[in-house]
Amino acid sequence: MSLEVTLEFSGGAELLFDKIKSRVVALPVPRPDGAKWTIRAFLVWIRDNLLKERPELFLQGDTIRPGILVLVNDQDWELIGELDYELEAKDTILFISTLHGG
Amino acid sequence: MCSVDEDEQIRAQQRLDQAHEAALAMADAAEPPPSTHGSDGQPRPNGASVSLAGAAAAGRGGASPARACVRCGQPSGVKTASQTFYCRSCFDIVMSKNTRLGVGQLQAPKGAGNKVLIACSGGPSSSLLAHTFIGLLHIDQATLSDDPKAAAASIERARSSKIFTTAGLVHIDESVLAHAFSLDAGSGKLSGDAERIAIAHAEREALSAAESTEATIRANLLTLAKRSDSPEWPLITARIEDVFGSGLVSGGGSVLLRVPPVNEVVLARETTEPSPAELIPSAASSSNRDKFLTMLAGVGSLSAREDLVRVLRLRLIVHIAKSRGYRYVAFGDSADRIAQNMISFVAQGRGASLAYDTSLLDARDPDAILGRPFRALALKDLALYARWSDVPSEEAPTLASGINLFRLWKSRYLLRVQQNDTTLPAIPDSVTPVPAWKLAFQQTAAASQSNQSSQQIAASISTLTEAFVNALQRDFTGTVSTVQRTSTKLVAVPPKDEERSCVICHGPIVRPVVFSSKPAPTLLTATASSEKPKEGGCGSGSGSNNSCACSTEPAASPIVPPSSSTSSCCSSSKSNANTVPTQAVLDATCYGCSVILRDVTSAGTLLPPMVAQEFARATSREHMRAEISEYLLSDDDDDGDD
Ligand SMILES: [Zn+2]
Ligand SMILES: [Zn+2]
Repeated sequence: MSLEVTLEFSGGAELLFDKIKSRVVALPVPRPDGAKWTIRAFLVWIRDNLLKERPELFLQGDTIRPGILVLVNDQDWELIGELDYELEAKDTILFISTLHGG
Repeated sequence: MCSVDEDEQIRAQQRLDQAHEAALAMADAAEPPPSTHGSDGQPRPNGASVSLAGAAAAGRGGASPARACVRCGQPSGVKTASQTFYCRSCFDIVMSKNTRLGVGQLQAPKGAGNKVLIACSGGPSSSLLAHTFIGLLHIDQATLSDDPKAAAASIERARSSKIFTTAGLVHIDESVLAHAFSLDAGSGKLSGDAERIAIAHAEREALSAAESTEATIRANLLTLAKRSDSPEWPLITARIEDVFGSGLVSGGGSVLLRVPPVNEVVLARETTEPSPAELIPSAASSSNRDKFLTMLAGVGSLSAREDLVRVLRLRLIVHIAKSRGYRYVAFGDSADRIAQNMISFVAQGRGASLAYDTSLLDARDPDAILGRPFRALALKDLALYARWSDVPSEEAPTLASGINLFRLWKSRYLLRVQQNDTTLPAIPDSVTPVPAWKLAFQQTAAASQSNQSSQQIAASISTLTEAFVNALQRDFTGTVSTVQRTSTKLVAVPPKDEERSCVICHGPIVRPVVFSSKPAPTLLTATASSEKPKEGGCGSGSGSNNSCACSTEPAASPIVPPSSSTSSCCSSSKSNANTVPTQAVLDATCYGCSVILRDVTSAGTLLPPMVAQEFARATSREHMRAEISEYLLSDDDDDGDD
């Protein structure tokens, strides 16, 4: 079983991720600890699977680096609980860097 | 023909609109119930307020956002940087209005030559700026369909005012910087062949990424330009290293005479449209590239390098504007950038011109008036609006972000090399001989005292400031708007002596003239007196008016730029004369640029010819001034002078 979501990057954030702007990722379900796939957990997954080397360019602590916007299905994540939002199948999570120079 | 009365009517109308908008904004801000904020008035730290979390848990799926749009009551889709909730369509309407109002603020006197050049980095703000100008100038119906009333009003306003008659886009290609991303790579101890190979791979990746990013930016800008219904909408591209072009020669006045080797494509509807590939700036001149990179390598700190690139980019844009008859240049600086610049410019010794550098209109040079119409708009809002308005954007890495990317790529390649990844492409043999600029970078890095570990994030004053402002903004949502609004309170003091402008950035030189007996009192920058220190010596004083003991050194050092860094303020005068810029050059630069020059570490670092030429003029002027000044001296001795 897996949870398939679309992971997108723009504004220069894609340069951290092999310049791939959009990809479908399959998240293992259930998670080892039995918890839900929140964005908080998803960020950890991104760090461990896609950005092992320099996570600080994308993450700060357990959240996203300030200056990187997050849209879930084109909706501002600030409206849906941010880190606590639970991913659903076919969700599209877009990270837009507004940092100077991406 | 438009009469003066009509003109005034339009302006009155715009003032009205702005007042209305401000009232709306205040109402918006007041409207949301206080429940999202903690009782201490602090914004919730972590997104999920109690009510929101409850609602999200009750009915999940994104279909039931807890907050309603303040404008129409529908479920909201965005929370603006100012914490206002809008649905997507209301957000579009409000942003469309705000961006147009911003551009509408760029009032220009009527007359021929009111052409505006839009400086496009490729990022969302400046692309949106181009998009807005296109909408205002050429009234593309397709982009105005959201709110018929508002659209009709702006169309009417644009038609009747005709603030600008023509516009063009300019983009400065900075892909040359990709050569500098590897900076200190290879200067330290390499762990062996594997690391050397990884560096070579990462260098190649940096260059190819820079090229493809530039190609995308050109394609994006072309897409934007094509949306105008104007028969002519030039897209001008130039390379940053063209500041070393032979075309950039100063004339007797302040205007640069010849046109640099830029590529201009005029989009004519009837003819075949150019492909983005045809917009590649004139073949990169390898000699300009080498000079540019050698110059960059000669500057010791990342902050100073970034500042130098910024200043030269501005000079190049202004030069292009002037040589093409554009009297106005519009920049896409958002409130966030202005807030960041407010802090970083002060940190970089540019406080004296802060009022201009953050202003809506900087008209110091009447032939090249600089405008920042988006300076009150939040970057988040601009970026989202750009995305949702189908305004394509792509941003090239800066020096600092590129260095970080390089380090990331290098460690990835290192891993692959160490794992004997056979899918790695073969790397070409290293270029021999190694280019001079590359050696210069390595020397500078090796000599640098404050060697940043390549494991850390490369940090410059501007990236640190950006991170600082962003982090504050996340927790205190009024940060950016407060700092940005502070910038509007700054009063621009017109330069007293228009002759004395910096040979590098054209900004005012506000350090008191060497022989002046009355130092200017109200300046933001530190002042340096050439006279004997009256209070304390090096390092004493309150920083903002710190006189330096070494300024009394005889010889040719009447002024040592006051140091704001932790290094000794005497360092520049004590080091080998060959390794620092001459005092004369420092005297002809503003404080901010002298800070850059102070970081020049390698001998023979060349500045672009336009700087050299202006320096030659400035020194002859200064010489005259000095001679005259001797007769003007009254109460102070100039015993320090030969
Ligand atoms: Zn609405
Ligand atoms: Zn300057």
